[in-house]
Amino acid sequence: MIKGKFIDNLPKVYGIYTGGFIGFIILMAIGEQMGMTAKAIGVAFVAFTIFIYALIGYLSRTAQADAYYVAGRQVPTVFNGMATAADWMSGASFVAMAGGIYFKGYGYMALLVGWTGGYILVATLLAPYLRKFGCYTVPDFVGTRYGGNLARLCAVIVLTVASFTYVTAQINATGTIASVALDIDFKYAVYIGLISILLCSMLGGMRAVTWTQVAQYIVLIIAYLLPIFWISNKLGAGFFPHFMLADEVARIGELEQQFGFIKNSAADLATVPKGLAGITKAHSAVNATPWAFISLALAMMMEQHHYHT
Amino acid sequence: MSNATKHWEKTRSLLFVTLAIWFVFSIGIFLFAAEMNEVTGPFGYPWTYWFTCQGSLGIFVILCFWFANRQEKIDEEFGFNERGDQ
Repeated sequence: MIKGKFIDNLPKVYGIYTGGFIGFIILMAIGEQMGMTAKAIGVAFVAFTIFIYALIGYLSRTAQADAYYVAGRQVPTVFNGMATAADWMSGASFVAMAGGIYFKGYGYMALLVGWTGGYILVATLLAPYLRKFGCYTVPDFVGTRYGGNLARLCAVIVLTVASFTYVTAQINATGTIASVALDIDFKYAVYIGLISILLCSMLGGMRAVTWTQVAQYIVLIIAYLLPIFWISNKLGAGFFPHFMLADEVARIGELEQQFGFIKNSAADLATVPKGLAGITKAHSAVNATPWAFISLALAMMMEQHHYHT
Repeated sequence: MSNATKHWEKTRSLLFVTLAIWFVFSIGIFLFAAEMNEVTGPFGYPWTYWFTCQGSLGIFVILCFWFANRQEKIDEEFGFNERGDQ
């Protein structure tokens, strides 16, 4: 079915993959109708994903430094874009951002602006110079540009400290997803998630990461878009909530005024049932001070800055 | 003035223009978030709400494409094109 090198067959490979994924979803839907348990479906999903990622890691395994770190600089633009987009839609945005916006409304939407705006900083300030210097990593670049191992060490320390918070959140998300999907304890699930990540990235380096990211992008874009089109249509707001939910936003604003998430004092909120009490901020109103919003957005951009490279 | 200096000057001014636009839509407009949210904007959403969810993000994506294209043109003009060295 596939002749020649992996890289020459990208549209075909990912076309088959997308078809396979949709087929798998349909299979699971049929399974559910026939009485497959939620746990079995969860296990099947995780097993399918790990299998695909490990397969990609194996297919694109490599021992050359150039291919390991920068995917051999031969990733076509569109696929590179898909991999980058998958970064955007990672565990933090899929799990944490949705929850954050649900609970805190406008203030958390700074994550969206920061997360996206960060790409401008990466594209203008960092990426071209990494490329021109022929460097693989940021410490490598700092070491080359400013000379000496001290500069390089400083870059390593800064990156490690900054990455630590990010990786903690990301590993937490991995563990949460694995524990929900496999229905096992978080303390075991987190290791299963980590081992599968390690398996994929160690085998193939950046090349495998890029290719698994593309695979992930396809899963994520379906998982992001399908439910919102579905739900929006079901609410009677049309298929494109991006353009058609303005009335809903206004209605949420009215309801929030009426039920007083904004008006309630801390003492009143203490009487609100657990779970609801988290929703203390109106979604429709600007409820953060400008600088709180902007600094959160900026923090996200800096975050983006280091981790993307 | 050498070729490399001229190339750097053009690259730098492109960088500043890009960062200025970035600044306006990531920081500038959110200084007036509360006032701006009173006004109805595209598709009937309040302006600030629309900018955080779609406007700024869309502008960033377009800006990324525009920046990359401009930079490539500048590189071509001064003979630093990277297209061939893959």
